[in-house]
Amino acid sequence: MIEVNDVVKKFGRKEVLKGISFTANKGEITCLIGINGVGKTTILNAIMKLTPINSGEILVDGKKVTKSTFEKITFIPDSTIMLPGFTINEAMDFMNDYYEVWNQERANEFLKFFRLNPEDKISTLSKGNTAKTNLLLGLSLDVDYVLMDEPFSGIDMFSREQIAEVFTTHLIEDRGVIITTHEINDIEHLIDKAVLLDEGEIYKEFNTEEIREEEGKSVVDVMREVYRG
Amino acid sequence: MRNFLKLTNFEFNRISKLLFSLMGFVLLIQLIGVFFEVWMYNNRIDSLMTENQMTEAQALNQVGELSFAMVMYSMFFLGPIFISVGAMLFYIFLIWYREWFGKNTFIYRLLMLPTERINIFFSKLVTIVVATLTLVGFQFLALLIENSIFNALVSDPFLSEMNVVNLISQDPLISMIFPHSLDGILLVYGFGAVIVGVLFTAILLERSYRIKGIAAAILYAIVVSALLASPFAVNELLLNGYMYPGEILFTFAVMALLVLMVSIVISRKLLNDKIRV
Repeated sequence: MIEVNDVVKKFGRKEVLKGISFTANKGEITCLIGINGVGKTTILNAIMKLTPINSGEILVDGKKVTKSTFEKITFIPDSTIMLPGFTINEAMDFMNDYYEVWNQERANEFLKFFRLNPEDKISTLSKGNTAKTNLLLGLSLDVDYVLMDEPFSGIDMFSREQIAEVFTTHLIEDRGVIITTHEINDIEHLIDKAVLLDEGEIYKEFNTEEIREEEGKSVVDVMREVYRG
Repeated sequence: MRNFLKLTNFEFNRISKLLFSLMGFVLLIQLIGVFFEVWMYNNRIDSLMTENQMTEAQALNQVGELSFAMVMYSMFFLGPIFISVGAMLFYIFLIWYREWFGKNTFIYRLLMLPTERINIFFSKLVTIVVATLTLVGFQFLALLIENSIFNALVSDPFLSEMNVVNLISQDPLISMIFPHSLDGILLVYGFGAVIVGVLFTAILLERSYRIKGIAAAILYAIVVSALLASPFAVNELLLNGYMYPGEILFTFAVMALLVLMVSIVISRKLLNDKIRV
């Protein structure tokens, strides 16, 4: 389980996270929802120790994040984080060099599934293929948790469909996923838990299945209530 | 340790293009210098012989023999060295800042590797030091090659053959690049490594606290300068020159090691807890 406990984050005087708490379980897809600039990316960065927090605590399986945590959790940001001069092959070699949990068979599955050419240079890829390569490099690690920042933003419809499809396959199942998005439509039917954020605070945290059964509401219905009502 | 070696190898591959370009550049320009100086000299001798009707001996007597010092102390020789030094200084900053800037932000990947983050610091530091020593070694080799080409080009009565090692020790600047003793090498390049470590810490301060970090980095540089100057200052001002030069240098070396250790401790803390992507 990933536990985010009362996390406060300030940029200068501005408080971007005002004591955020939520949990994300293994085997579930947790979605952080909110408009741009509410601190979704900051939360993911904080979990990976890519930005310091002012107070609060973040635990992965009950432990603070250390170097060994990075064999358990992976982060797929919305930009490319590999050297642009690398080919996809070289990027995979790089991952294999450093991560014990790198799974080349799975990487090959992704190559096939996304129809990527491993000889292509990362700098020459289209936006959609860049996103797919990011996903390949992140999800081919046999980790328990995956953090994804806006995997659908700015890419074409068919790429989005393909990426959404990944969520329903064995390539994702059993893992704990935290995904951020401001456009819920692509994955509404996939997510188990929704965390609604606004201005650095959590408005509502709910189980999508329960709210559908008990109140007959979709995620979008709840969002409408929260953000417009 | 394995990850440190892998990262260092990786960093070295990234610098290798620059390194090979600099080596090619240094050799090319310095060789041009060799040919140019010989050509100029021959021209002068020739013109004295044809225009002033001098004999070879008279011309030689007036112009003097040509020695390799003419090449070594010329801009053809020193220019490429200055440019290489400048390139390495620039690379000290580039080696960090390129991870954040540009199209792809590789710093995310580096910080998420399942290894101690201080290994990133060490791999970059070792890369800079090894690259510098590689350049210095290459320059020495190039010097020997250039000297033998020079000796082959200049015919006997005109050549004042000089020992390259002597020429090195006669120039304060060049002798700093090639210290003649092991102690000297350790002192110059050890001190260089410490300064690179300090600059890395300054860069990490800026990368962690941005504008406030620049102020912290400047403050840190001032404290480090004071620490490094302290052996000399104490000896002059408090002890009235009581210490032997060897003792001062030893104290200085201890101070430099201390500074390096402090830089490592601060950088480790910054990389683990304060750094921002």
